[in-house]
Parts: sequence; structure tokens; C-alpha cells
Amino acid sequence: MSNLFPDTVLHTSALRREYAVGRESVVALGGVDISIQKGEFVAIMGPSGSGKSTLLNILGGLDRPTSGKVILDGHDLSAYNEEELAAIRRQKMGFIFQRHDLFPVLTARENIEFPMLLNDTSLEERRKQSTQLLNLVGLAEKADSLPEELSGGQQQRVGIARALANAASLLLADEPTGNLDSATSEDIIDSLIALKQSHNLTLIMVTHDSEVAAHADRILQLKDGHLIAGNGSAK
Amino acid sequence: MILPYAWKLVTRNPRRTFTYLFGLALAVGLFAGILFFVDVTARQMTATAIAPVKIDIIAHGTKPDVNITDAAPTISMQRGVSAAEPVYAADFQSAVKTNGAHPSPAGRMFAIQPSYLQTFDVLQISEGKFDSSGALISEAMAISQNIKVGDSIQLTFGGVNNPVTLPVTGILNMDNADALFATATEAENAIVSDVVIVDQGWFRANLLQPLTTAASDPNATVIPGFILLDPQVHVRINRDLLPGDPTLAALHAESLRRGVERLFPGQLKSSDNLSGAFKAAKGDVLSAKILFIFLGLPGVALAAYLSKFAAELFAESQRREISLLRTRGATPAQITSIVAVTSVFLAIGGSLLGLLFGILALYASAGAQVTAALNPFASTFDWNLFTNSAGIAFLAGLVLTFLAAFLPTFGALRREITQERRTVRRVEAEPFWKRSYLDFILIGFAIISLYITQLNGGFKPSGNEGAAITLSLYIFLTPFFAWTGLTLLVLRLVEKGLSASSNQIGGFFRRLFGEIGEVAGKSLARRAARISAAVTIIALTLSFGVSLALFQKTYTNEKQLDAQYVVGSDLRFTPALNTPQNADFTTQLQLPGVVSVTGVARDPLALVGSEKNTVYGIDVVSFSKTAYLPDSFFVDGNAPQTIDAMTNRTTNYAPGSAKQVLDALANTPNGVIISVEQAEKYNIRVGDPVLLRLYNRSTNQYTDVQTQAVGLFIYFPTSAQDSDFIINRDFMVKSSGYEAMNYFLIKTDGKPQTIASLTSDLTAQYKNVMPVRIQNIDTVVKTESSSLTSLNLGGLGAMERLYTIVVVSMGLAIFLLAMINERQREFGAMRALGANLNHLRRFLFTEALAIGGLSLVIGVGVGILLARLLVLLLGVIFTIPAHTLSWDWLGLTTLAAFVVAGMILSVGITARRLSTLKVVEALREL
Repeated sequence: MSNLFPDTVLHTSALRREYAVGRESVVALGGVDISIQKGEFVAIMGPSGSGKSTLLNILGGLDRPTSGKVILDGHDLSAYNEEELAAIRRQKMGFIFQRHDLFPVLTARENIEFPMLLNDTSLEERRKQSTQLLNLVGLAEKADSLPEELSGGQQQRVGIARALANAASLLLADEPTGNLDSATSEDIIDSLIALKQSHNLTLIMVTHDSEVAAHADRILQLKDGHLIAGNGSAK
Repeated sequence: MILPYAWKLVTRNPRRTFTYLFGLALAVGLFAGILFFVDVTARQMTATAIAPVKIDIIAHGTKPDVNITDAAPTISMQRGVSAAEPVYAADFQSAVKTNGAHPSPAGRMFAIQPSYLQTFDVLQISEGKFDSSGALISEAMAISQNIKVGDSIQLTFGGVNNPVTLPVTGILNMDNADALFATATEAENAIVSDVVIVDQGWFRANLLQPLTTAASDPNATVIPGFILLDPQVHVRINRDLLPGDPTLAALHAESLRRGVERLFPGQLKSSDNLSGAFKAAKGDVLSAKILFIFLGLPGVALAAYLSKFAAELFAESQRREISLLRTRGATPAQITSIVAVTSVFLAIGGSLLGLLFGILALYASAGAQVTAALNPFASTFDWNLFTNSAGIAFLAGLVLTFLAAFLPTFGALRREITQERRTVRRVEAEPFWKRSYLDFILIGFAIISLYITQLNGGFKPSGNEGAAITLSLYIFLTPFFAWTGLTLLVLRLVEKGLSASSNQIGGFFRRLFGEIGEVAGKSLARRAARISAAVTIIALTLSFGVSLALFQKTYTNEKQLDAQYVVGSDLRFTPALNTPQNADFTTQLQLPGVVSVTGVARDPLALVGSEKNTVYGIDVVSFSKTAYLPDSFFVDGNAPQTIDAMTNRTTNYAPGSAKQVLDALANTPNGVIISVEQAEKYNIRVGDPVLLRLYNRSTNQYTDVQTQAVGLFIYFPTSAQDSDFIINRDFMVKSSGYEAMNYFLIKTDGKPQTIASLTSDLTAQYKNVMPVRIQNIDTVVKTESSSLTSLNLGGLGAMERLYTIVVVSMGLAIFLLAMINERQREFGAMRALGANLNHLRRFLFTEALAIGGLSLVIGVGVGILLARLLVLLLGVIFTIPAHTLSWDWLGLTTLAAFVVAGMILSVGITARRLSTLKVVEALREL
């Protein structure tokens, strides 16, 4: 498997994140070194408080490390300000949330088009892409439904489609099946893997579900902010 | 355990605590401010009501030999009394000018000490001076007997063998002297027109002894109303010590009156001249309270709703805290206790802060005249003035906290623990009022109520001239229903309008803010219920500021018009009686700033039939240029509608015009125009002959004068009290033989500074030349009309405007902050998806613009409607009823500008909140 992923998309060195809680300092990440290759599916696992979501947030530029580096496509993320990081997220990344976090007053199509709108994509192009994405996730007939009119699984599919808007190459998913039943979870994971393969996506997923993690190319185990299993590098 | 925990909940959640305290303080503050304002106004109204009372208490001796010379100083030393003067009153049987042929009928002599003239503002010397060896006589006596200063009069008293002769050293204006004639019994004052004032020392030396003997004679013939000798003590109380509330003030005055009697038991019987004024003030104060509270309470209700809204900002987190406590085993009783204690802390803090806001609002809005009297360090400061109101406002704060902060937790306690821990938005059923169309029902009630009110002739003052006007609660039914119904209708229509126009709204904001604007617009339209609630609160708050500003301007204008009506023009110049007037006297009054002058002749002794009436003589040409003559004063006497109205004693007269009526008078030398009231009384129609008997001062005879009725009026700007018959001046002069004018009306450019400077110029010009009285529209006091017309609405308006700006700005800020709070995850997700701050701000601006814009438009529209309704209902409290709104463009523009500035500031503050949004925290799972 090791020769399948020659390009490094994301690389961290000595990544550390501390939070001040009252007068004390809590170490969420205590020096993590990982390297993720293009097209890889990496699962991040660990018990509660192990730093999984913290790691994912830092990788996605949503949070800043206390020390250490995050290199994305050869660029050090610490050199960018908040607005520049937002632009990077807009253009290169897609986020899938556990609670879907669809915008409740926008339809499925409008939710999918939202990231494209942020990128000043034209209306025509947005329509075209959102239709393609809705077809891709099998929800063409639900284009004009509001999130409250969709099931949990359908909402997550819309979330996936939204994450793929703007032709994102890197997907970051935080417990995408956490709120779903096992059958739907299976369905979603299958869809994600299919999309990953068809679009050559890099997928980093935080999960506590070992069955989900079993689909990953690599599993990183975190405990108390440290990588305890799973090589930080690609196999 | 509960107390310290509750205290920590309050002190360790500063943002939540501050938001709630501020919201509550805003509502309590406005309520307290209005109540305090009402208290201050009540005090002012009480003072206004008793201002015309010149002598507070008159103590009559029960026997003619009561020693009032010793009694007066004793009485003046009593607490609450500021002065007391001994006065003797005795009726003379006749008075005749030396070498005159016509004795006057009986009159009254008052013997006073010289200090009396400084102590009591009852007698005004219009000519001459008070001399210890002479007499002052009333103007009426001077006219009827043609007596001038320097003449002598001879007075005859019952029981005194020889008449007494005195030189006339001065002439008195008795306009303010009615109180002199108060009797010892409850009978109405019997005012006497022939009055002589002498020095008490002279009286004691010449008349006291024989009059005492005569009055003490048990066999003396007692003529009802005739006073042989009445020793009196006139008392002035210290009005600074009077409570502000007229009921309490009446009790205080009554207590003083009884105290005076107790000082000399059996010797003095006192009458209180203040009780009538307090009685009128009670009605006025109650009406003012109703008016003020009605005008201000909706603002309070809106501020209270806003504070509830602010409490709801943190309701979700509070519910989750409670659910956690329950998960950990806390019982409902323990949780209830915690919430109750927390609520008490918040209620006390918020209410106290609110009382402080209320005092500050009062000081800021009530003006210097009021605040100068509100010095808490002065010994005369009435602490009771605000105690009740402070207590009521404080209680209101407790009740509001109970409703907004405490009650909702019971709902939370009843629901399942797990349900409370969820953060999913609840789906709420359509509210009851919407399902039952309560908005339309209430508006229907308002229309019906207005129709019934108008069918009953509308709200009219009582038929008796001078009677107090009162407001009853029922007249506020219409605006109450209208306001409540409109509130709900606005809510319904805005929600419906927004929901139905999602694409149009999206398109509009796309043009403003780009593509993100379209999304924001659609998002707004799909959250119509929430948006419409914010629009309704802000719009209605604004509407009350607008309606009160318009009502206040109209009210102020009507006050001005009423004053102009009383004065007759900008100034009224009244030279002393018998003052020689050159033919060019009118020209002498044409000082810089004067536009025109007209002289008015007056005959106060004229007879219509056998009744005494005052007849005025005007020069139509100059009068038309000078006097205040709105067409609304006149009716078309020839119109069948007017004739029907006069026949049926309704007031549905056909409107006339000043020009029509005055032209008719100018074209008919012996014409007379008559008030509709007198025309109805004497059954006179236009065209009828009217016989007047004018008093000729040269011959002291009456001259019969045949006139012809040529027009009718409702009001006429000569004297508000007695102008019912107006004839041509030349005709009057010819008939009466008296050429001097009674007074002159002067018209200026209308500017207050011109009027003020002319007043002082004329005063200076005639200071040592002749006694004059100069009134202008600023100095006139309406003694017979309700003090409801003299309310300081300006102060209430200023307070309401201040609160409008604050509540509108705060309302928008609270709503926008609530929006950000509720949608933190959404905004977090947007940031995660790559939205920058600019994108998020455009969402905020879209909502702010929609809410602000809709609120401004709806608020101004509803405000104008409400003002119109208020003017329709309350306009008749003035002598000249208001029928239209007066527009205060500057005030409205300023209000709008401040409101917009406040909104912009709110948006700026909430935009800052967006920039501090932490994505990771927003997206964190609980």
C-alpha cells in the first residue's frame, strides 16, 4: 500500500495545543507528528478527551496550535491570518460535521451552493454543479427540501455534497456517522469511500466507531494528546 | 447552600446578569420615570389650581368685638402659616361723590393695614396710591360715579350718625379680589362692585367703635347679606409645605383652618378658599395621571417585552443547566428555590437600577423649573412625593422578573430531562391570537368604541363655563383596542409579507450585498416569525415616540391658540381707568416690532333686557388686522343647519368665516354680532332687531340703542369670560358718549423675543406716566379653564423620546445579538466552510436593514395614526378644540436621526460580536 500515495497533502511536526482552564493549563495535543498523502483515507481514533477533534480542527485551519507546524500543500498554515485561512478552506477543503450543520432555512440545493457562493461562482455554474452533486449523492428529487424535511441520512448526504462543492480535494469529517443508525452509517461510509475513489479525494475522519475505521487506509490512535498507535506516516 | 449557589449564579455569569438587569432596569426605569413625572405634575397642577387663590383662609370674628389686631400675629406664628393680616369689613349704605348728585347703592368698606398690599396680591392700584388718611375705590365705583383721584366721597353707615368723608387717593382694579367677599358661612361669595379701602388706623379712630356698638345691638335690623361689622383675619399658608397630592394638600389646609379656629375657640369661624381649588385639582390630577399613564404605559409594555426577550437570550443555557442539575439528582423543589432566589437577586438589582434610571429620566426631561424644586437636601423636600410611585415601580419589577425569569423554569421542570438537554429548536404551534383573529376583533372593538363615542356627541367638557374638565378611563378604550389590535395586525402582516416574498427579498438584497445578500434575504424571509416579532416591538416603540411627539406639538400649539384667544392678539395693553387718551394714543403704541394696533371699547354695565351684559365695541378694519380670528370661531348664522342646531340646542352649526361675519358688522353701522350661547338664550336669529341699553358715563344714564343681529360666533377674542355682544366702536362711542378705549390689542411678528421686548418697552414707556396692565400670551393665566390644558407634556415627551431612542436601539441590538447567539453553530459552520467576516457581516446587515427599515416605515405610519386618534379624542379639552395634527418636522427628523444613529451603533456593536466568534467553540458538541 505504501507506494499508492506518493504526494504529501498535510504534514505536522511537533504539533502542540494547550488550553488555559482557569489557572491551569490543559494539554490537548502534546506534540503530534503526522503526514497524510493525497488520496489517503485516514481515520483518527481515541477515547474522549484524547485530542481527536482538536487535531482535526487544527488540520482544517479552524484552530491554531500553541506550537508546531501544519504544512498544507507545502504552505505553512501559521503564516496565514484568519481571512486567508477561510479562503484556503473555501478553495481546498470540505467539512462534514457530526450534526450535519446544514443551514436550516436554506434548501438542500442552496446548502450545497453555499460554499460556491462564497467563492463568487456564477449562478449558472452553481446550478450546474449543485445538480451534479445532488445526483452524486442520490438526492436529486430533494433539491428544494428544507433540512427539517430530510432524514438524518439524507441530511448527511447533503452535508457531503456541500463538502464537495468548490471541487475540494481534502475532506475533513468529524464523526460523520455519530448521529446515525448503523445501516445509515454504513451507507454514508460507502458513499464517502466511493466519492473518495472517484474524485481522488483525501479523507481524514475522526471516529470512535471501529467498524467505520476499518475502512480506512490508516488508523491513527490518540490518547491524552499523544499518538500511541498508527504510524504518523503513510504506510 | 441555595443562597450562596444562587448568588454565584448571578455573580459568575456577568454577561447574562448584566443583560437581564439592564433589560429589566429599562422597563422599570421608564415606568418609574412616568410615575415620578406624574407625581411632579400632580404637585405642579395642585400649585396651578391654587395659584389664583389670593387669600387662603379667612377667619371671621363670631362677634363684632373680637380683637383681630392681637389675633393676627398669633395666627401668623403657627407652623404652616406664613402671614396673617387683620381686616375689618363693613357695608356702607350709600356713597356719593362730594358735589355729586347720584349716590351709589350700598357697597363695602375694607379697613386694612398698609402691609396688606404687600402680603396679599388681591388689590391692584391702577391709579393713585394708598394713603392712611384717604380711600381707594373700585374701578366700578369710579365709573358709575365718575370719581377721579383727588375727588372726595361721603359714606353713610348704618348705626353711625354722621357720614364720613374721605379723599379718593387711588383707584383699584378688583379683578383678583373675589376672595375678599368670602363669607363665614358656606354661602357663595356675594361680590360687591362698590368697594372702598381705608387704612385700619383711620378706621379704628373713626368707625370701629360706633360700628361695634351697632353690630352688637341685639335689636339691630339684620338685612341678609348686609355686613354691619365683620372683623376678619386673612391668612396665607406656607404653600411650600403643602403635599403634592391635592387630596393630602386639602387635608393639610383643612387641618390648618381648624388649627386657626382652635387658637381662639368660639371667637373665630374660618373659611377655607383652597378647598374648591383642591377639589378641581383632584379631578384634574386624576385625569392627568390617566392621560400620562396611558401615553407612557405602552412604551413601558414594550420595554418590558424587550426585557423578557433579553431574558430569553439565555433561557436555553439556563434550561440546560437545570437539566444537568436534575440529572445530578437535584429535586424540583431545590431547583425552584435556586431559581426563585436568583430571580429575587435579579429583581432587586434590576428594580433598584430601574428606579435610578427613572430619577435620571425625570431630571433629564422635566426641565429646570421642576428639577430646581426637587432638591433632596432642602428642608421642604417632600420625601413622600415619590415613595408610593417608587414602591409601585419596584413591585412591577418583581412581577416582571417573576413572569420573565421565574415562570419559564416551571415549564422546563415539567418537561423530560433529556428533552431539555437537547438543543434542537422546538416547533411551536401557531399562537392563539392568530388562530382566533384577535387582531381584527380588537380593531373592530376600537372602531365600534369610537363610533359609539362619536354618536354620543364625542367627548365634551361640561356645559358650565369654568367647570373642571375630567377624563374618564372609557375614552381610552378606543386607543387601547386600536393599539393592541394594531400590534397584532402588524405582527401578522409582516410575517405574512416576509414569508410570501422570499424571492423578492432575496433579489433586493442581492442588489445591495451581492450573492450572499440573496441568501441572507431568503434566510430572513424564512425566519419571518422571529423577524416580525422584532419589527413589531421596534416599530411600536417608535410609533409611540412619534405619536407623542405629534400629540405634544399639537397640544402645545393648542395651548398657544388658547392663550391667543384669551389675550386677543399677541399683546393686550390696558391703561388705567379714567386715563386721558389722546386721539393719537393708538399711534403712540406703534413701537418698533408692532404690526398693527386696535382699540377696543367696553361697556361692562350694558343691559340686554334686564340683565347686565358686557358689550364690546370694535373697529372692524383694524380689529381684523390685529386680533386672532380663526374661521373656526364663527358660524354661518343664515344657514338652515345653524338654525336647526340652535332650535334643537345641538352644536352642529354650519361653519362660518371671520370675513363673512365681520364684513356684515362693518356694513351695518348698528350691527351686533352675538355669541351662539346668548343668541340661543335670547332666541335671537341673524337679522333680528336687538335692543341694547348702553351706559353713558357722562350722563350716568342708560341709552337705548336699537341694533340688528348680523352674525354669530362661538368664540370672540376680546375677553374669554364675557364677550357675547360686539358692536361697531363708532356706534358705541356715539351712544355711550365715552371715547376712551378700554384696552388695545397689539399684533407683532409673533416671535417670542419681539413680544417680550415690546412688553418691556411699553412697561418702561408708561412706567411713570400712567398705570397700565400689559398681558401677552406668555403671561396670561387661564383661571377658569382646566389645568389639564397646562400640563407639561414636553417633559413626558422628552422622556418618551429618550426611551424611544434607547429601546429601539437596544431592541435592535438585543435582537441581532440573539440572532448571533441562536445561530452560533450556523455562523461557525459558515466560517468552517470558508466564509470570511465580510460575508457574515452582510448577513447581519441584511437582517438589520430589514428590521430597521420596516420598523421605521411602520413605526412612523402607526405613530401618525395614533396621534390622530389621540387628538380626535382629547382635542376638546381646550377651549378651541384641536381638529388636526400639528407637525413638528424638526422634532420628528431629529427623532428619526437619533433612532437611525442608535440602530447603526447597535449594528456596529453586534458586528463586533461576530468578529469575536470562535469557530471551534461554536461547533463544539455539548
